[in-house]
Amino acid sequence: MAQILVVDDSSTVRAEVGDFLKKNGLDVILAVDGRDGLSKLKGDPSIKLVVSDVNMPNMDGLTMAEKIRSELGNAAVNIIMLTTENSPIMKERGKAAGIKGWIVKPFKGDAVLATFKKLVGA
Amino acid sequence: MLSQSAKDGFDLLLTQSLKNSVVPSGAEAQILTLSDITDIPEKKIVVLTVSSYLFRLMVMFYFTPDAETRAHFARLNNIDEAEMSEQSFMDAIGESGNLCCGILNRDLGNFFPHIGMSTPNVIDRNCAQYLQKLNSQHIQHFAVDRDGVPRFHVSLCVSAYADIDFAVSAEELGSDTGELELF
Repeated sequence: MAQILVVDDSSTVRAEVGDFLKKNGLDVILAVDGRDGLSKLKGDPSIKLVVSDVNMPNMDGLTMAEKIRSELGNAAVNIIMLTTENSPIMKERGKAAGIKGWIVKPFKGDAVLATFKKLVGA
Repeated sequence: MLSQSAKDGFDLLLTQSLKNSVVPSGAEAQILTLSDITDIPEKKIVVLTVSSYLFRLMVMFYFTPDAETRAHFARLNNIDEAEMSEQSFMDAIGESGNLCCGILNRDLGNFFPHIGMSTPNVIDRNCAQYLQKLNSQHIQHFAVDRDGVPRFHVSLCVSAYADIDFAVSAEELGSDTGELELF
């Protein structure tokens, strides 16, 4: 029963973010790109938060966010982008897709842990 | 087509990005410019591009997959060196390059709004000898030095498709990272 879905094509980022969240008592499931993320979210209704990269092969994170709302019809799950990008154009697209927030890499777990826990009700 | 100010700006932005991405947080690094890289020992390159419709730049990070380099990039990415496979080592180096070019991409975005970057790719060191063939207007090589970290090298190659002139100073740089911006 995963609470947080971490989506990133970098195994380094998946390991860093996933391990940090697990060490802090959160259940985590990993996906390698937007297509994989969409599939895993579809199969696990317990996921309450998606933390996703933007630039990924096969399906990028913003497209995945749009499909979560449109194709899956899932308006409840919180989506946060974790990316090197900081472009206002991308953020506007994310906002239009209903994402909850934006983190510019590198990931600093201590800065976001309390908010992540609040978003998943832990 | 590239003004001297623009060349200096690209160099400054890259050196600042390197200091914030490929050396441990809070550590001081010395970054020297080199006239050529013929004799550098590294065997492989991670390459990324940052481009707009006005220019394309390539950043090449040279490395050798030895024990010292593996230890450095494991430490840098907060991953357990003992559990680092060959694939995860390559991924860790690629992610460091991704972070560096992400910072560069963001800073350049202040001057060029329509800009994007590639994902990292690993190529052979021998490819570097063909940089001159890209008809670029600016090639600069750097050595990154810090105590306890293996010296490594970076090349910047800028190809401009229009006249480019911008000025940047070190005081203007620096943006918050890692903080959650809630919408």
